[in-house]
Amino acid sequence: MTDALMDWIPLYLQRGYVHWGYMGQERFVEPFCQDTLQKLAAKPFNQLFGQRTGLSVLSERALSHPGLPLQGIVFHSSRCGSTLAAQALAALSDSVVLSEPPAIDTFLQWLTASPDFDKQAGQALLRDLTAALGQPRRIQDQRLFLKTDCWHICHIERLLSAFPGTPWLFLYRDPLEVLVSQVRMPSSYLIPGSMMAHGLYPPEQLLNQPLEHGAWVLSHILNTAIHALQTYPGGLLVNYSELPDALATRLAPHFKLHLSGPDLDAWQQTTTRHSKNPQRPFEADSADKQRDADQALRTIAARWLDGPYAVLEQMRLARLTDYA
Amino acid sequence: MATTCQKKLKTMHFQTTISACRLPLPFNAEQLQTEAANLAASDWQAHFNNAIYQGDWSAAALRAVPGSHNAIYSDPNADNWTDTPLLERCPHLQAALSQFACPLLSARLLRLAPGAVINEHRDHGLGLDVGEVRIHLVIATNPDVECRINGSSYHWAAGECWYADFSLPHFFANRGDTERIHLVIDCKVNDWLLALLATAEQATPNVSTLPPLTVAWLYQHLQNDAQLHRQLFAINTKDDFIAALASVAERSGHSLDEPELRQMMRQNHRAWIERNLP
Repeated sequence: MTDALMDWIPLYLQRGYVHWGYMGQERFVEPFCQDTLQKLAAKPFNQLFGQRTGLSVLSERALSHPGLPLQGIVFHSSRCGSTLAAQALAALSDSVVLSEPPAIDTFLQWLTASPDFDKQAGQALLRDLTAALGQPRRIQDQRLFLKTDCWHICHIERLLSAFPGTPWLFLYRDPLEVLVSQVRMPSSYLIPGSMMAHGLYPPEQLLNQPLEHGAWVLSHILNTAIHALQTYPGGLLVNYSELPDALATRLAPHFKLHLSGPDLDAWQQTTTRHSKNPQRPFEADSADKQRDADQALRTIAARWLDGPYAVLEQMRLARLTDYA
Repeated sequence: MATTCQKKLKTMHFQTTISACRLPLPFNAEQLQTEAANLAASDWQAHFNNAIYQGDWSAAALRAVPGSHNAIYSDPNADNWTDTPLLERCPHLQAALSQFACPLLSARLLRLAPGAVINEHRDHGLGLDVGEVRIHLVIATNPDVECRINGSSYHWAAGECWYADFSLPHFFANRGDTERIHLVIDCKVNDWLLALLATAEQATPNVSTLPPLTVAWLYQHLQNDAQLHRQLFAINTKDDFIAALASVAERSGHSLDEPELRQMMRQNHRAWIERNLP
């Protein structure tokens, strides 16, 4: 019997259904999964042949097509070099990287909305969905990495229960610089109420304050990271200020990668380029962003973010000392 | 009169819905063609029902209601149809009409230019049951004129005279590069016409209709043709994709319902765009 979903991938989840598109031998090479999926969805082939199945097909498929083993999860505070990390991993000759896959976000929203749903069944489905997304795309592909949306640190318990023992990274940067970046190009999490689907209900006074709502979400992200580091093993803290070197010296060994030969070259080439605009070199732009921060932004950062950021820095430095 | 006819209808074999049949009335298409070709451009006017066609579909009135602002409209309520001055200039068309031994309502030349398409539609108010029928006399046509009545395809040749039940869904398209011109006559049903219809056979569709290329068939076919699968997947524009499907259809003996396929693709694209709606 022919395999009707061979080389097909979930394009999106909606109302309890999986919408599949054919991916063939294409790879996830764009900075975000979304960009690759958009290209696939725009293919006339997928517009004509697109398939829709129930969730149970994910579980049936995972039995015959278990996908690549998940070898690392990248959590982050947004605008902090996480795409650079994902691109470095994607440059490896044997790795598939899922960068902020929308289907995982949708599924985490469903789990949030259904607190009574059996925990183990939820974990199993999360694994099955990841398996469908994380199929080998080249013959030599051996491992999978997941870079989550920044708010997914709030789902770390769900993710680590589904993938116990997986090493994870929390990448972050001075939150004032993150806010400057959000002022320049706002993320969806600035929209007041946008994180309710993930269980984050903002205080009423932030409902008409997008930037401060963003800062409030960010404070959740930082505080959850602090808690997670104290709770789950396998976590690594890296500050943007340590990039790009820390990706090779600390992240790679943490994710059990032994970089050498062409992989090392590819890794280094990638981490010296701008992740979303590879024509430009990667340049730490902290000084520039600090200069752009006005007093209002500093007040917001002081109100929500300076505290947890200081704690994270303390934890990171303490761990660095431990290593030394 | 109408009542008598309807009674008779019930006893006749074609009263069960007849879609189309060819009537045994001989015409000289060439003479009519010459006459039609000699009409002035101003004798033709664009068909008023512009919501249902694309391209150039126009008409010249041979019988009309005097004083009507829309001479080419076959008004079902009018009862004073008279020959137009145009018909008086056309002796061959007059002779063609005079073969009909039944009361004539409207008579028009309908001209479908190359590339023009009349979308599938129904014309209500026509039919044996209401006592009025429409008859087409083919003056000029070409092999690429499509004619579909109630889902069946026909080729109506020049010089032929056809009855069809136009209250059924029907569709015309001129895919050729010459004009299609029909003399279209609305007749009141009388005994003569009933007898004429009785001698005609229900026409079997005389164009072999190919089965449409379905997504299910194509998908199954792709499972055994990896090269075609790769080729179709690699295409990035809808037009190129449809062209590739057309060639698959031709090779595999299918017709291609392009509007249907495009509609499906539009729907799936829209579903993608709306994927984040609750």
